[in-house]
Amino acid sequence: MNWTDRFAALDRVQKTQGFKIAASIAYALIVIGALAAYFVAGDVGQDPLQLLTERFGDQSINESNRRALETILDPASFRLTILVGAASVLAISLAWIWLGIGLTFIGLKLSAGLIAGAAYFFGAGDLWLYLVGGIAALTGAFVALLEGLRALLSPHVPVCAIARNVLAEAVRMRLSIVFIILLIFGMAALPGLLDSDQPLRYRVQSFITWGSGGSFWIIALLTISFGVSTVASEQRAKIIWQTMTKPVPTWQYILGKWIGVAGLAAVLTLVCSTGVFLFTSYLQNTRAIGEITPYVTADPTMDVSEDRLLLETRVLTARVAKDAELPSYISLDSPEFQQAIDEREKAEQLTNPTFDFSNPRLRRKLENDLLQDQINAYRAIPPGDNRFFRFSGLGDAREQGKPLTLTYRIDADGNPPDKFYNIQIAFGSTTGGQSVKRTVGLGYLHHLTVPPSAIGEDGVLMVGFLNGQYINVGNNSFVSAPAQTTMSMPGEGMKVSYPAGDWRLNHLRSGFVQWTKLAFLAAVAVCAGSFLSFPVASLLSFSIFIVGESSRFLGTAEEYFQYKDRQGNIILYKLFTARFTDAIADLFSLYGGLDATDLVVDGYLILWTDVGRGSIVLGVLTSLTLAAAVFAMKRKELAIYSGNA
Amino acid sequence: MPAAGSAASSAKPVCACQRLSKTFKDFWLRERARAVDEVSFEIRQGEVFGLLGPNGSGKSTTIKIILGLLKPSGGRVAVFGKPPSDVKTKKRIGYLPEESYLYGFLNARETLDYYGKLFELDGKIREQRIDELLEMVGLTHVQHRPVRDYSKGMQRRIGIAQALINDPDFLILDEPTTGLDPIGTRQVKDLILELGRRGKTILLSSHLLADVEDVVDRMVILYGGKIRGEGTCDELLMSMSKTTIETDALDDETIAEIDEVIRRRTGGEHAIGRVSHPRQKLEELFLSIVEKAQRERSETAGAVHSGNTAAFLKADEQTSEERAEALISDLVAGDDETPLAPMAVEGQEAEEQAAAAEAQAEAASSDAVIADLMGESTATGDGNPADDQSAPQAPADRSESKPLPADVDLDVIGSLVDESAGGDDDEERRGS
Repeated sequence: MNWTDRFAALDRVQKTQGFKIAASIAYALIVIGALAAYFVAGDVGQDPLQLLTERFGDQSINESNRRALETILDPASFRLTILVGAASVLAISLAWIWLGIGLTFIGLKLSAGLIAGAAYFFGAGDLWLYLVGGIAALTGAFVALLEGLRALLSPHVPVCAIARNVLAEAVRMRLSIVFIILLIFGMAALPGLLDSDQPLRYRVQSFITWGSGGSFWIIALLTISFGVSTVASEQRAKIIWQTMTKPVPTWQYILGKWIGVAGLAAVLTLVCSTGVFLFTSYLQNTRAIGEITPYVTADPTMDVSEDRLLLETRVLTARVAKDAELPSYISLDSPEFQQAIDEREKAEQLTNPTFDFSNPRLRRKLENDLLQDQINAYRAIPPGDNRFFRFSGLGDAREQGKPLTLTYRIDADGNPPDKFYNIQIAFGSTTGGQSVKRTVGLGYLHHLTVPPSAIGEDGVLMVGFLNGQYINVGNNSFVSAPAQTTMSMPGEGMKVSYPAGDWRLNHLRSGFVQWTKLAFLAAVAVCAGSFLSFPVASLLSFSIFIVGESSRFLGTAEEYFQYKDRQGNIILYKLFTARFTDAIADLFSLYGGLDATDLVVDGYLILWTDVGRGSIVLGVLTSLTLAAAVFAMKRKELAIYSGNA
Repeated sequence: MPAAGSAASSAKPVCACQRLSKTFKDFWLRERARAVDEVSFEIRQGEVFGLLGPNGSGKSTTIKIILGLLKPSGGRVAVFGKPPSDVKTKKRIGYLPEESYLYGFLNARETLDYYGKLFELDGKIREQRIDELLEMVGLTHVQHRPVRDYSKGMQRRIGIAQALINDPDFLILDEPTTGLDPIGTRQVKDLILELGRRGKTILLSSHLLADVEDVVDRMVILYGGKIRGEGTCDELLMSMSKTTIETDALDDETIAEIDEVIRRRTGGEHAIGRVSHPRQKLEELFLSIVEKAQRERSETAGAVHSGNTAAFLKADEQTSEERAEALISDLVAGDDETPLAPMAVEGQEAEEQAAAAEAQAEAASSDAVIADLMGESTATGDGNPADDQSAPQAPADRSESKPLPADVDLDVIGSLVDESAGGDDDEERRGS
């Protein structure tokens, strides 16, 4: 008996009813015994806060920190936490055992422990420990979720049987297993690649970007290649004959294949999302810049370090953002704007006689250009001058009483990196407010906390920017100290935001959005594989994926794409390219717009309504794609000529 | 002599092909090959039907059309009275393709479990059938090994098992003995005979004529996509111009006396042409050696010879008396009570009427039928001409002389017989 046979035999043992019962009893006894020993003999009664004070000195913990820590480290709640934790561990372990992977679980933990122990013994750094721990945790989660999904697909109906078979294929065929290993190793290695000298918020943002965004790309590639393979290769190898000569309608075959591929994508997305979530939670509880220990500032005069504040209010949150409104005259519908457009057309006609006024696309471009010019002019503030920006729809923020975050960016004089710029910001409602002075760097985003009291009853917040500062010369007398150059305030950096939800739920919504996209890609892959050979189907599916992901870019690029030469003659292939790109960008605009990772990284709320709308549209597209697959496969002859001619 | 043959003659067809044609075209829609050309035949319930022909003669194409894997270019095909695309009909069909197209990553047990689920078999029934089938095909001890690690013969065995997982009414076997060792080949032939005796309808395609000759009731011979011959083995193969007499070994003097008698009785026109001692078939020798080795408990890494047909496949087994009763009931009741759906094939009515008339005539001699069924082994084995003539037989076992059908292409048959591994005059056919 070789090792494979031995493992197979052990696998059969762990799936027997007797093993499950015995293992459950044994595990429950171990956990209960460990808990009893911990409470009887442990030092739970010792005050953790006292230990902290002894270590870092009493001065380092100010009163607000102390209150927070007392709440967190309260012995009674600590015991409850221990109990809940133990119960959770027991529940998870029992789930493993009853999924028939109890021995796998033990084997995985033992292997990880041995490797980590050896790494520690030989003086390996944290990177190795992260790697081993991460691989063990992710593999364990993957195995458990996969078994859970297989259990869900256990009813003896063709759809479930086919889907289950796809899952078995996924973990036993090289093509998919390579992607899965790559994903698990990549995710496990990612924490070790973070720069510990960076501010904590950047580390968290980097991790979410690479963990969530990177894993999505790997899973998408796996979904496409595996989805195509499981259908196309089965036809090439004629295995499908055995299935389709059984009482299996074509739609059940296609649906089963899709459920299997989309199910695998769901498991992997869940594993990665959980991994990202757990490690983000871990990072959140590590030391930020300016802290001597997590949540304890090095500066006793501050309640919270700046790094921590930015992390909690800008990254690990779910904010609603409002952009600054433009004045009513800067609008495509306003008479002033239309008049300006007419004047621009006349000017254009003088300089360019071939300008085609009847072309709606050119007209649109002209309008956009003019609109952008007017916006830029509005956002430019001359030296010593000021401009007020209006933010409306902040009634909820006012009611919640939570502070807002004003995000802005100053551009001036080509943004020299060594130059600091003096500005003064006033904020408040139409009835009053306050102002602050700031000396800021140029060309990057700045944040300012705005009290909710600054919002008017109508939910409107006015924020004014002075290009320069007023200096108090005594006796409440102020003199203006204008800057030397005109400053401008780019629109992408001009917004206020306020927390409207929990980042954990935001993370969940992000994972769901990613899965809906993957499920659509799975349908595309299965459909392509149903009537094309593996290489052609793969190429088609990858093209759709790439186009979908880059549709936003394509839409923007197309606006600036010229299909006429200098004399105004149409270049046919460029015209075709422009029209084709335009159509593709429009077709995939919704898919491309569902970019949840960026929103999570910047701590912006992903609304359930947006998720629902996107899911419904993608769901319809997925259904149509699967229907097309059924139609194509019904028309196709599954057998080919094998004679002598 | 299986009773199925006589039952088959009166039953409605399980599968009917009428003027079936299949033309394959190339990318430019030009005709590339006419694989099947106006082929018509019927397979009746309980019949073991052979589809013979050399490679590329259209056997597999015909089967794929019957299974719905290919669409016919012309003609009609009906299985259980329904078109091949009918999904429900497939619940009653078992199919073994010409090669083993299996999921290499599954093991034998998982493979059968998967196909069992496609038939929506209940968990307990599935488990029971899997155990029995694995035992039957001799793969129980390697059931947890991935199928990709199996030898060709072992894969063939698991293929046979999956074709039987639903206990099919209509079993389609495309080159079932390809890749099997002589034991496996014998097992498959025994299985076909056993299933045939239990009323299953079997379509057997093969170019190994000895395999077909041993088991089929009726056959068609294809060449170039067309039917070149059709009938029972005896109709197609028996030579009525010669007589073979088998006795215990005789001395030269006795032989000379017999020769003298023959010359005298025929006026010198006939004489003994050849005197020989029958040879044991290589297959029989091989099987006896293996059987001896197994008695001595020699180990093998491959499939184990079991020979026991899965119990669930025997579930509908009837005693000879029960079969006789059932047959008589069928014959007396006529076609109205047959469970099969009517076939939508042209010319069927006339055939049904002829079959009913024949059934009524046979019902009159029900005693003879019972005697035949009760003495099944005698009728098939000893070749007693008197017995054969008095009892209705399945076509393959009929020893009464019939002229060769006019449309049989003798050259084709000759070339096929040359390919055959068997064909010994002394071979005991349909040795049940």
